[in-house]
This record gives sequence, C-alpha cells and structure tokens, in this order.
Amino acid sequence: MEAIIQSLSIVFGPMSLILIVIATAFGMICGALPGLGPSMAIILLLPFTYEMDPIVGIIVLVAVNVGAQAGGSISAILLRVPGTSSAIATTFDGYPMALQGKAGRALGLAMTASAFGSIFSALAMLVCAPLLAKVALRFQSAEYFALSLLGLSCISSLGSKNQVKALLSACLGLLLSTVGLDAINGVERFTFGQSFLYSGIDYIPVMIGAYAIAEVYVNISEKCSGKPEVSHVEKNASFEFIKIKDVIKNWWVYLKSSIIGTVVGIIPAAGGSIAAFIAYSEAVRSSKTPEKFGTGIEEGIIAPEASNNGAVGGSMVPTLTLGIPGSPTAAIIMAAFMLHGLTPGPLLLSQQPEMLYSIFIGIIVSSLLMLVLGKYISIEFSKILKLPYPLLAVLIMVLGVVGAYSLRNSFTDVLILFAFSFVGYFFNKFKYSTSAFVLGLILGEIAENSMRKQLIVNDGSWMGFITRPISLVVIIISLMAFFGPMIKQHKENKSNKIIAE
Amino acid sequence: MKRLLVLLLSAIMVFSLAACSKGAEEKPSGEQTQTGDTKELDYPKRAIEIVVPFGAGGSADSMTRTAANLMGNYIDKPINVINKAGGGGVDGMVYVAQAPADGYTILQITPSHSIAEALERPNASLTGDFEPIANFQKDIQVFGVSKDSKFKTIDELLEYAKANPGELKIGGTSPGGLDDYMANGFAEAAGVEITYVPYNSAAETKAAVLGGEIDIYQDKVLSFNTMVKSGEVRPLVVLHNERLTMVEELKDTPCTVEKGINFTQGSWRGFAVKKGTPQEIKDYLEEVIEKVYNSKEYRAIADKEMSDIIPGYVGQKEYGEMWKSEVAKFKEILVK
Repeated sequence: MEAIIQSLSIVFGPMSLILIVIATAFGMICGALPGLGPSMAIILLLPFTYEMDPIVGIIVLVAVNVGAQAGGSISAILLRVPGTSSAIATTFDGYPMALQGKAGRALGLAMTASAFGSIFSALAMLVCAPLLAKVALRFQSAEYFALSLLGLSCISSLGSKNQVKALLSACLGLLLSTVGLDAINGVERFTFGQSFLYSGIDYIPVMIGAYAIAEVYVNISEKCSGKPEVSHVEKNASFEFIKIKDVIKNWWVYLKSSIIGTVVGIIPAAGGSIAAFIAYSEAVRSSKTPEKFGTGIEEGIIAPEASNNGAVGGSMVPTLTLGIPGSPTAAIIMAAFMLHGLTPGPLLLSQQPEMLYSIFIGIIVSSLLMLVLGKYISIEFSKILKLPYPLLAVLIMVLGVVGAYSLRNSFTDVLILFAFSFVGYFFNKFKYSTSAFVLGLILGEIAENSMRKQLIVNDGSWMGFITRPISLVVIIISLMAFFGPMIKQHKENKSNKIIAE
Repeated sequence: MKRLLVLLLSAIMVFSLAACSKGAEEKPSGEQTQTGDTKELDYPKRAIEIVVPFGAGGSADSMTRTAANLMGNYIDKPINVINKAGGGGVDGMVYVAQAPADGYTILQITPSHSIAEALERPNASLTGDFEPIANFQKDIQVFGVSKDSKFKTIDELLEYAKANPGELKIGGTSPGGLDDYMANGFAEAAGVEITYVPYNSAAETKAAVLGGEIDIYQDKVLSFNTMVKSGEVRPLVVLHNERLTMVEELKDTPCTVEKGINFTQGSWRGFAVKKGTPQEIKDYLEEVIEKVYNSKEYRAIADKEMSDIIPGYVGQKEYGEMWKSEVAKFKEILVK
C-alpha cells in the first residue's frame, strides 16, 4: 500500500506529469511519421532521461512507447501510410472508412482502442506479472510457429472475394521472405552475390511502397484518365470522441483483442505487428459479417489498435520479471534500466515494488492523455489533407522515401520502396491482395525459422507441434480460421446454384 | 502561385532523394582534400563520421556512442555516429570502403567482420581493405545452464555430453557468427559434440533456456551476469585463461583453461579506417582513442557497465596482428 502511495506521488508530481504529457505527444508524432517508429522515438529521448530520477525516466520512455504505438494509426487512416509496422492492419479498414468520409470517427476509434488496449495490458501486468512470465516461457519454437500460422491464416479472410489470388500473393510474400542469409545455417539464398540482399528484403520499405506510394499512383492515374473522382478522404476530418455506449456495444472485440495483444506482447519474438494481425484475423473469424471487413468496418480498426497497444504492457512483463525484453522497444527500455544501475528481474520487483506500480500508473495516465492529445495531434495532421492533391502526393512520396532510407541509412531500401510501389499498384489493379503479400513477407521468416528450430531441438521429429498443448490448440484454431471462410463461401456458392436452378 | 508550390515541393523531393545518395556523390570532393594534404597535420577540418555497421541500441552501438562522446573532449570538430546495419556488418563495411581514405569516415568493427572475411563473403575483406586504428573493448563469454537444470558443474555437463553426443543444445545468435564459433570451438576443444541452435536475438535465447528448449546458455559477461543476479541462470564455465575474481557472481566459476579445455574467446570492439589513409591521421586517431580509453570519465563508465573487465585497448600494430590471427582461427573452425 505504501508503495502505491509512493508511486502515485512520483507519477503525479508536477514535473513528471509535464514530462509524461510531452513524452506521449512526442511518441504519437514519431509514430505517425513513417520511419520514426517507437524504437527510434525512445532512442531519441533516452539521453534526456539520464539525469532524471530512474523511475521517472522509465515512465517517460514507456509513455513514448504507448504514444508511438497509437500514433501509427493516424497516418494509416488518413494517408494509408502505416506509421509503424504495427499499424499495417489498421490500414485495412481505417483507410476505407476515411474514404467514406468518416476519418474523424476512424481516428477516434483507433485512439479509444489504443487506450483500452494499453490500460488492459497494464492491469494484466500489475495483477499477474509473475504468472504471465511463466506463461511467456511456455512459448517456445513450436508455439512461435503455431502463432505465425495463426497470423497467416488471416489470408483467407483478407481475400474474401478472390481467395486464389490472395493465396498466390501470400505465397509470393513467403518466397521473398527467404531472400538473404538463411537464419539457421547461414547459407545465402537468392542473393545473386549482391551483398545488399544479404540481410533480406525488409518489410518496412516494401510496406510503405506497396501501400502509400502505390496509392499515389492510383490517384494520379485516375486524375490523368479524367475519370470522375471516386472517393477521397474528407478535407475537414475532425476527431470524434467515441461514446462509452459504443464501446460497450463492441466490448467483446476490445477485450479479446487486448488479451491477444498482451499475450503476444509477452512473447520475446513477436511484437505489436503480429499481435495486430492475429487480433484482426480473430475478429474476422468470429464476426457474423466477415465479408464486411476491409470495407471500413469499426471492428477492423478496434481489433488491431487494441492489440498493438496491448503489446506495450505485455512486453514489459518479461522485461520486469525475468530481465528478458519482450520486444525490441522493451530491449531499449531495459538498456535504460541498466544505465541507471538497475537490473530488471525478480530482485528489482521485491526491492523496489514502487517501480512496477509507477510503470502501471504511468501507462494508464499516458493512455488517458493519448485520448485528449489524439484530438489535437490528428487535427494538425489532417490539415495536410487540405493541400491540393499534387502537393499531398509529393509529401507522401517524401515521407515514404525518408522513412525507407532512415531504416538502415541505405539507398537500397529506397530502391526496394520504388520497386514494390509498382508491385502494389499492379496488385491493386488486377485485384491481387497487397495485404496478403505483406503478411507473407513479415510472417514467413518467423514461421520458417521457428519451425526449423523446433525440428533441430526435437531431433528432427514433427511430433513436438502436436504434443505441446499450446501449439496444438493454436494450430487447430488457425486451421479453422483458414478454412472457415473457404467452406462458408463454398456452401454459399452451392446454395446460390440451387436457387439459380 | 500553385505552380510555384508544386515546383518547390518537387524540388524538395529531388533533394531528399539526392541527400540519400550523398555518400556516393561526396567522393570526388573528398579526394581533392586528400591530394592537397601538406606535411603539417591539417586534420580534422570537418566533422568525422563513425559508422556502426549494426543496429542502434546494441553493444557495438553503445560502445561507439560512449567513445565518440568522449572523443569530443579532444577533437573540436563534431563526431557523428551513424548506424548502417545489414548483412551481418558487411553493409556498413562496404559503405566505408567506398568513402575516400581521408580519415573522415571511421568504421567500427567486431569479430563479425573477421568472420565475414573468413567465410569469404563478397565485398568483405577486413585485412584487405582496412587498416587498424585501435581496439577499445574486449568481452568474455560465459556458458551456463538454467537454474532448473540437472547439471551443477561443467564436469557433469561434459560427462553427459560425452555419453550422448549431439544431444545437448546450445543457443546463440546468428548462424556462422561468433556465438556459433564459440559453441563449436569449445565443443571441439573439450572433445564433445553439442548442437548449436541459432536465435534471432539474445532475448529469445534467454527465453529458450529458461523455458527448457535448449540446455546451455551463452552470453557476454555483462548480460550473463544480470541473469545470474536474478537467480535464473547458473554459471558453469568462463571462456578465459583465468577466473574472473573481480566479478562477485562469477568468482567461483572455473575457466576453460584450468579445466584443461584450451579454448578462450570473447568479442572485441574497435575502430578501423580505409586502407590508404595517411599514417599521421591514423596516429592522431589512435592517440585520441588511447586518451579516451585512459580518461577518468571512461574509467567511471567502464566500472559501472563492467565493460572493461579485461583491458580492452590494443594499439594499431598489435591490432593488425590480432585481425590476422582471428581470421585464421575463424577459418579453421567455421570453414569445414
């Protein structure tokens, strides 16, 4: 109890409150700009925390992370440019919803879901961190593989109109994920002796190219062909607060996605982007109207946003209890602990219980702040939309190029960006699925490596995937999620035929 | 008005593209300054760039940032640290090899670079394309097991490994990298067979050993020690020629040499420049780095981070010899 009061006084001190406000806003802005993800935002702020009280310093960094995960949705919704990799799934329904003239509502939903997700994960962290840490260790290679399979199973729901083309796109993504040095034996694959292909094709430039730049091409070709403008994001998008009534209506989606996010966040190898995909595919699977996903449906924004922010609190669990960072971002936060001479782990929790409480309160405060700040920051961002389209197009291209370049400070990534912008454009044109392609590219690597690792540790036996309970359950769920939409469509086709006859 | 804005913005776009390929364009101007070099050392005239060929936040990156920060006390020009990750350190190496040999672009190096050379990766010749400045940090590797493991000492572990060849699994990051070399080199010296399982990050390796997927955990002293402190991991052996008596948690852990296993290896982190850089510049940089290494500020940081348990500084000449012997060692174990 004493520790709680002490941590309350730390978090609600005037200086630390101001710092949390600044950190959250800074995180949101960095999140919204592609190329400046949560990790970069934290690295930029890290030097400023050296002189702070250790607890305040850590809270500031956690607040940046909370803000950045949510900020990624702003550009995803308004420009179809996912600001962070965990906001890719948000573009599926966020951008179509903005095209319908409901950008403000989409932003409101994203912020509310993000806040819900982080508050939920903070609660989970506080109540059962040691227990959750045990759960985290149950996830080994077999479970990683099962989880990536679950993420991939969402392919069949992404391409509900043309599943064959969606499958083909995903296979292409999987194929490209094998380019580079193979992570098990170090063998070169498809590198053609080019050293820039050694580290493989990074999904961030691919993603920015195939979504954002391709969208620019689509708009330009529409304008040049003199077609009447089909649809556009409204120019005066204003942030819409979501009523509690509406939250309650969709409470199950909020809660389920936050749980998925928290659990996936705890696992060291998987982060917010995989959490978002899994939550999205689960929302599609359990929906009564799965065919509406991808057209701008509310659940399609809530699920990925609640779960990618759920991963924030989740990733802090193994960091604090075991000293194992749950995500690359958490690894940097852990480095901050070390700089202050603190060693995360069970010892720290028993010696300094106020640390856990302060982080918990810090996440809640910054999540609530996010709702308020979200209004102002997204209004500022939506001003960009008032620009005439040629200017907006140039701006998107610049943001895209900078985002791709800053990833590794390499011009190769800019070339990859442009190469895949054409892929994205033609995928759109011929109704292949860009999302399935990107999904294959992101998850292919984890799926392949974890499967091969499991085979190594099990001396070549495949039984591990079935005999480990968590792996078995997740594999069954993913098979259901994969074949469900296909069987349903098959049945519908049949009944349609009968009616036609 | 509108046209003007369009023009302006497309100009910005073109510039941002041009800025990206700056490295290539700067080349001729850089060469000019080099040819105009006089006998008196006129260096540095502008900002120096240190290229870290790994991602931000790693041990190589934090070492370089600390060193660059302190180098600022001796050099009045800015020292910029940039990350060029990719290709296991090769991408950054290629970048520096393409820059002029004028001492304004310094490469931060680790054993990954000697390994890339040993494996004959294209464009990766550390001894062929670069010249040493100085080494700055040396690390020691420790092997251990999870606290729930049945192995209490290294002898028990080796006995089991001899009876069951290939059954024990050891984790590490990157295949064909330093961890792989250390696992295989240790096993060979000890006369046992263990299976190496590569993970993407140290965090995953830790989770794998605590979750029981692998049997042996290996890490650098600093990160290993945090796991020992929290009671999660039991240290078994230090890959060094003497016990680390200065580290509280590891003072009772035997080292490989006293156990009759003739294998010691650790990571190291230092600096290099492109071959052909004037000797005076190399001497100047070596001197600055030595000053930084011996400075009070660095001593304080090193004590806190335990990054200088064994003296890390190696001067130009010895460093060059060290490169050659490292490459030869890696060739022997990794190229079969």
